[in-house]
Amino acid sequence: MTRYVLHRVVGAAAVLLAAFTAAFAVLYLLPSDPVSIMLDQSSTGGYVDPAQVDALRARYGLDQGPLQQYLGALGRTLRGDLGTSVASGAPVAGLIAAALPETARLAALALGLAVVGGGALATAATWTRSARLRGFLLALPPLGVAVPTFWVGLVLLQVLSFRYPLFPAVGNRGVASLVLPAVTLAIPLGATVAQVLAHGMGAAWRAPYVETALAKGATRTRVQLHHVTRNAVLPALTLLGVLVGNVLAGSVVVETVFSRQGFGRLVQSAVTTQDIPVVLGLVVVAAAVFVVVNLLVDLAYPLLDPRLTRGRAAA
Amino acid sequence: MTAEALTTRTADDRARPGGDARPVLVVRDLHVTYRGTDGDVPAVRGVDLDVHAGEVVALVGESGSGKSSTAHAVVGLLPANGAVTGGALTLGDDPRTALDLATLPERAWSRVRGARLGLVPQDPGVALDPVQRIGDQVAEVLRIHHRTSRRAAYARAVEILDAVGLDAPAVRARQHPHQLSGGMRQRVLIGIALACEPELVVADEPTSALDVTVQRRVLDLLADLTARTGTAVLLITHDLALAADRADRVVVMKDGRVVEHGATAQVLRAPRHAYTRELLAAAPGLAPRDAGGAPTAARPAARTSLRAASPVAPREDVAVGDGPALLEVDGLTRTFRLGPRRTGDVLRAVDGVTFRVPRGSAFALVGESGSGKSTTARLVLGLDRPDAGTVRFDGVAVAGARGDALRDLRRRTQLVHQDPSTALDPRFTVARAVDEPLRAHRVGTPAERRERVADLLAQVHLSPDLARRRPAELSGGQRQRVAIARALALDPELLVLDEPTSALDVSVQARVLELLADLRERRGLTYLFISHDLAVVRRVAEHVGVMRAGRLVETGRTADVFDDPRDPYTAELVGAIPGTHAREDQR
Repeated sequence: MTRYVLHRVVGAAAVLLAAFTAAFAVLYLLPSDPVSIMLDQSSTGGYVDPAQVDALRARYGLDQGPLQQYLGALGRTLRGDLGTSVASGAPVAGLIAAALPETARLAALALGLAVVGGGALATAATWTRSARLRGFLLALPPLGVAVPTFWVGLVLLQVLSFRYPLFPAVGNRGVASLVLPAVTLAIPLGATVAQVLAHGMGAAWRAPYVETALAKGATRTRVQLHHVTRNAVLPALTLLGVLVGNVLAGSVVVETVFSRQGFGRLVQSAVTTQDIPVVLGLVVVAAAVFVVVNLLVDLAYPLLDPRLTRGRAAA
Repeated sequence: MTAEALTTRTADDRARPGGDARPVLVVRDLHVTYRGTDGDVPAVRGVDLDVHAGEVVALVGESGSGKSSTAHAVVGLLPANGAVTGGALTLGDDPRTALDLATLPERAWSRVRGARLGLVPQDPGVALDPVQRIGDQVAEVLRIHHRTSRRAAYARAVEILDAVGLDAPAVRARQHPHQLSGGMRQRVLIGIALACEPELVVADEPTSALDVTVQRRVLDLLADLTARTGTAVLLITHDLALAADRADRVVVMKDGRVVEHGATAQVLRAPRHAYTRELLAAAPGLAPRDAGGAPTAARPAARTSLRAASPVAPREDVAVGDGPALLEVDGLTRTFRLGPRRTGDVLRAVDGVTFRVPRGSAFALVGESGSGKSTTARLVLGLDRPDAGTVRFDGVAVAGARGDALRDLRRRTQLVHQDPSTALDPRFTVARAVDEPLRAHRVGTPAERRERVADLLAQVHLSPDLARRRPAELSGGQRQRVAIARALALDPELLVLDEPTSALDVSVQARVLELLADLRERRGLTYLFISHDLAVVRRVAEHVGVMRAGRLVETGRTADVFDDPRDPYTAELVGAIPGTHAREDQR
């Protein structure tokens, strides 16, 4: 068991390092010069003092070779120092720390809605014996995956904010402001959950152990609760890690559409201003969140699936 | 064993079989139909059937005969596209509590199944919920039908596990299905089926997934427990020999209809219907011994000479067969590491196996699952490397072959797989599948290859019309013929046949075995035949090696080994062949 944990932790660390390295390489190779961007934004005229440029280059370590820059950035990141924003001069760690809680609230609500909604849909679709209802329910998830997030967001805004002012259209104030963005984000997530769970539950319903349970006199409801759900949820658990990644990616669109402060918004602005230290910091944090969630899923899995821990003891 | 613990009622409480008592199950003019994309497909067409208390009735038939549909109709578990479209199914020998199952609403079914009607499913490997503890799964049936506490139901479940003969039942109850062997799992399922002392148990091919010695013990248990409670058994099986051993009465089905029914001995001795006679002839276990040992019996002189040459040598050490060996296996060993390297736990899957197969003969390796016979086959073909020992094919070491030598070896040795439905690429047509080895070895022009493919299909008695079909459009027997044709494409000298007929119906099996015998004779092939089915081996191979736990425990001429087994394990295997009781009864 300790071997398993060690294996997973080392693997997670390797993924993080790889993400950092890939992000650094891509940003370093971008045909742009952070210093001139910075000076463009701050300077008054077209004139740029070469001495000032060199000073700034030295300050951000841009005068060093790529390897020194990489190692320097890696060392600082390991110490928790993500550098300072080129655009605002604020520490990157502080910017991200301020943005994350907003997005975490949004993500938690969206994930909750997705799991409950998607789970309910999958359960209903596999439990019902009406082929027509099943067909209808199973047609919904592909639709949910297919519609673009920004479009859903705009439609929700149009209907539930402008025509019927039930929820605020923009901002970060209160729970009400969370509802529309969370629903928007939850639709593709819930659709994915529903697809994977419906597939797993469908397979479980066809499994011979369900026939055994029915032959014991169990009702369909009992079979669904005691046998089908648990067997179908286990493989779907691995999806959770992927979904967290999707939430972070989705927050870019959703927070922009709903003008919310948060992680996604920070990504969007950092990328537009080519604020390289911030982008790098965001990539590292996003990768860390993703890796940690997947690590937790991996570590929880053996606790939930008896087949992975309790070895064969058959004589 | 404390089988008494399972029952609070004795057989005396139940009506004795025969007499004037009403049957526990009455099936009248049963029709089951499946809705398909091309309209309705009738699977059961007017079946009549009675099962009395304490009686074992075997429903025998091949795939598509409707026996499984009949069984599923009785327990009300037909698939969603199937339905009882006519007839009556009455459960209960007491008129006051008798029920018509054909019209029973779903709610009522849940009070009948498990309580009055038990099911022992086909494949114990997948019939238990993999994520629930054994004890909870047994307790579930008690909790559904008796309003007992969780604790009391669990305690009773442990008693039931004890009654079905599990060692350390309290420990087993806390385990999960993957920690139990197939035989133990089937015992658990029998325990579940009998937990509430039902009037009838439907056993749907209960042992077809189990090894023959395990099969015997499980069926003994089922017979013992049901006899104690007077529970009637409807035994569904494709194996007439098994039915002959276990049933009081036999009902033979074909194409959805009952073609013959009667007392077991009578059906076996004097079958009235042509189809029953065909089944009897095809059932390897029921065939008279002489027919089985034909290749040996035809050459009594050879047998004498072998005996004379080594009058006292133990048979295990005799290098069987005469003539130059095509295949020589010497001290073959293959181990697999179990768990972390440091624990040093290894499985000796093949452990010092030595045998030789003369050119033109057939050598069978028999054994139960895990005995190492399939690993041996892989080593012989050079698909896996041994840890020790050698395989020599026509004098060339298989393990050392590289490049052209390996290519040559691949051409001269071919494999026919166990399951033809997965051994053929579903996207390849029959012609392409048979052509593939020719193309891989760059044999001939396209026109020549086409001719060769047509010729090969003719040799395995497949119509040329089938050449453009895909495996899904073929029957199991046809698929195995395609696989054989493919194996023959390169004119090999040695065919390794890994359970080539175990996935086939008996009558189809008989025809495929006939084809193999015919091909061997015509083409001078050498066979290494891997099988768990001793009755089949008896028909096919002159020499046999019995494997157990990686070791070859006994080797010799098939007839000698089977008629006079020297190793106790061989004796147990031979004794467990279904049809043994029936054959003895007939004498």
